[in-house]
Amino acid sequence: MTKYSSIGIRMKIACIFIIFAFAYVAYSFYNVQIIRHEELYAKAKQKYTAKKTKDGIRGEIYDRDGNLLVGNEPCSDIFADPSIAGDSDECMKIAQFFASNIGADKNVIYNRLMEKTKTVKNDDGTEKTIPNLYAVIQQGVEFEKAELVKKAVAEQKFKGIAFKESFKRNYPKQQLLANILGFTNIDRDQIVAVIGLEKFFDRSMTSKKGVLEYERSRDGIPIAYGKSDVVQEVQDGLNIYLTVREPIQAILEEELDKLMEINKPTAAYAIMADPYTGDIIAVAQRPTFNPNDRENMNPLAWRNRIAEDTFEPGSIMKPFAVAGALDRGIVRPETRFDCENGKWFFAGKILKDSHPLGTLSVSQIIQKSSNIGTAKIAVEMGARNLDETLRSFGFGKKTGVPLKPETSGIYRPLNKWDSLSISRFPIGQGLAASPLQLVRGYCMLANGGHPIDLRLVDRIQNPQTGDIERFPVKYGPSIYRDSQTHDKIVSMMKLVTQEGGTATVAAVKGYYVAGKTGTSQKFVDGAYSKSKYCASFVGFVPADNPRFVLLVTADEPTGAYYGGAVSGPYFKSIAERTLKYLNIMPDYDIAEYDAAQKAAKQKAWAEQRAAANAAAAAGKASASSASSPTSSYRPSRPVTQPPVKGSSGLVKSPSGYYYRPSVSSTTTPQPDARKKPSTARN
Amino acid sequence: MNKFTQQCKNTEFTRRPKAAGKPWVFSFVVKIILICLCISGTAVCRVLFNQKTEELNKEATQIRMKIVHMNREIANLKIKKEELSAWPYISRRITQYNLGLRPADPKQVSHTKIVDIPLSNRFKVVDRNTSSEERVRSNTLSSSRGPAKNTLTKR
Repeated sequence: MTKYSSIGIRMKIACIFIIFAFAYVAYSFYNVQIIRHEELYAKAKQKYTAKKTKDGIRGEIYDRDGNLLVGNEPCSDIFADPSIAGDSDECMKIAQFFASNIGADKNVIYNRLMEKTKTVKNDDGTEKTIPNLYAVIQQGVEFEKAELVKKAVAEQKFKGIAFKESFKRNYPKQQLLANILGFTNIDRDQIVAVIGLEKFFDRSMTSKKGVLEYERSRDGIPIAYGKSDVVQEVQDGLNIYLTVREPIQAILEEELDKLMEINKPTAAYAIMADPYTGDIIAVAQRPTFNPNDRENMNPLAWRNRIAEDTFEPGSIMKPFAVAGALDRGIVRPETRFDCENGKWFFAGKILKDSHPLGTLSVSQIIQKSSNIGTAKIAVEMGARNLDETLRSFGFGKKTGVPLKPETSGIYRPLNKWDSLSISRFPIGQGLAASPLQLVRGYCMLANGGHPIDLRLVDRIQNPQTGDIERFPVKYGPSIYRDSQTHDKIVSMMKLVTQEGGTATVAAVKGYYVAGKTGTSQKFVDGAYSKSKYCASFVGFVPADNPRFVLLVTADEPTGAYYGGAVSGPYFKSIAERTLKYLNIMPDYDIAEYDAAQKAAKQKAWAEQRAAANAAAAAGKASASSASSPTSSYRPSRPVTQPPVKGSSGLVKSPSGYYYRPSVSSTTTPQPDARKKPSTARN
Repeated sequence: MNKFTQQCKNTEFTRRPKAAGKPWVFSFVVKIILICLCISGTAVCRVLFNQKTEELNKEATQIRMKIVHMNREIANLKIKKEELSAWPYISRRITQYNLGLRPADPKQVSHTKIVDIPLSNRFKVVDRNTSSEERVRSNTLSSSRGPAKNTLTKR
């Protein structure tokens, strides 16, 4: 039988043991909860907390109507974990699979998969070998292909293959507007904007990564009642909406391609802008590139010629100087100038016209593009007035389009003008302007002299909030002092595309076109080249209520080199197609106009015949009655040739060139006398 | 002490040990069981609720992933659509299939104007058309004077 005392001892031992056990547990709790709290909490947190980064989407670029010009194409990057990919046979299988499905190099993939370990350097400089957990199989695999491959990988049960969803920049319209849009590159998983609008608006279009910290379950899904913190909000890049209209841009590019094919210039560019808002409706240049085709991309074609390049504009400068002279009342459209039969000695140098011209009115000077006549007008104006005029049309100033770099052109300040400047600047020599500057100047000529900033970007939109920021139209007060100046200069410029003008090929049937041709010799090695030219035509249509200003320039065309002959036809076809696209009703009925022209010609021909018959009858009578010996000699044409009125109302000058006798007759009969349109637009 | 009290104390029944305490134990056990049932019921409910929540959470995650996938698909289709609507592509197809398309012309749109005949005149026309007697008469009359006139076309 057990004694009470032994029971007591055992009880005491048990109690002591329990006490110690409790004490140990208490200590362990203390240790875990208090002493090692931070360490263990961090460990646990690391286990059940996940950090997820989400890439935002880079902003896209659209045209004015919302057609996508630069977008983000979904794609997948395929990776593998070589440490679990399997043995040599398995790796070969995987390599073969990807080689046949996505066209990757089998050997490259196999070698990457067989790199099971890699050597890394410790902080202390020692090297250690660790398992290789990451090998790239292929990056930027197209969405559809990646989806198919993903399914096939699941079916094949390959181990360690992972797909990372990403986006890559895509230019769905290929080379359309490529120089303006620019492109981006990828440098170590970072998007780097290289040129164009991509670069200018890089900061706005760049997205911000979002970081989300959440408590996850064992399978990685966020726990419903778990804690989740947005460390950084994901922010998509802003979308840019241009003023460009894709269909018109396509027309422009197509015609420019034709120009390149037929005239084979080294470069060509065309810009179309709205004269009232300064919106660039279309802009293109050749050579260009396809941003989606990086392998065949020519870096020489990257340059943005319309903003970076300058050229001596030649005769397309003339309307500016003449507008200044008209506005100041120095000349009137009917004021006549002697064009010196094509050669004029001024300030020690000879100034030539492309064709010898006699006495011309100011209107005819523009119509026939006389250098001498324009230089004489400028001399009448004086250097200060000419400088003021050209500056007011924006020469020497940047246009403000969001393209970098943008040239401000070459335009000397007045105090640096030499004696020749006054005769050369108005004919577009001795100064240089960018195509954009010229278009801005012509916008002012078209809109009644209102200074305007060219706009390439219409609005910027936040895709997440839908907020839109619009770029305002800057439309200043008219620079003209005389309200008639606009009508006068437009009337003169209309003559350029009408019969007797230098660019009849630029005329658009049914519409009045105001424009000016320009043929400038290129300045090569310190002298004006006799074989290299810039052929331009710039104008606006419909002349009285212009919807757009269009400049077409061919740099060093082969064969014909006159602006009217080279660029004029393309101006016509671009303008014609654009007017139809914009559904702009013609200024006059073409059939009626043709009939009127035909009737006028027939009438003139009948009159001429009647006069000839009368003269013949009179001659017969006089021959039979008179017997003077001198009458036997009748020169076919008088020695001093008086002006001979032609069938088209033109007068033949003594030098053999046709011109219209006076301003009143310079205006070609027009089928309907349109009312003067208001230059202001709502 | 009254008789009744005395009798009770002396009987066997009253002297039996309180043994017994059985009703107290029973009620205690029932209470415990009830409490346990409540607790376990609540726990089970909670577990079931959590399970349901997690299931829904998983479904939501899957739906979210589907949305992401569909958004990517939409983005892909958007790019494809833009590629197919580019003018160079369209013009190639026009040439390929020899489509007789021509550029739009403002003159190609013509406006049709329907001029309605006044109601009274319309009835006259109908009358003359239907009244054969009158027509015969008029034709007879006109034939004597000259060729018959079609009153309807005349109108």
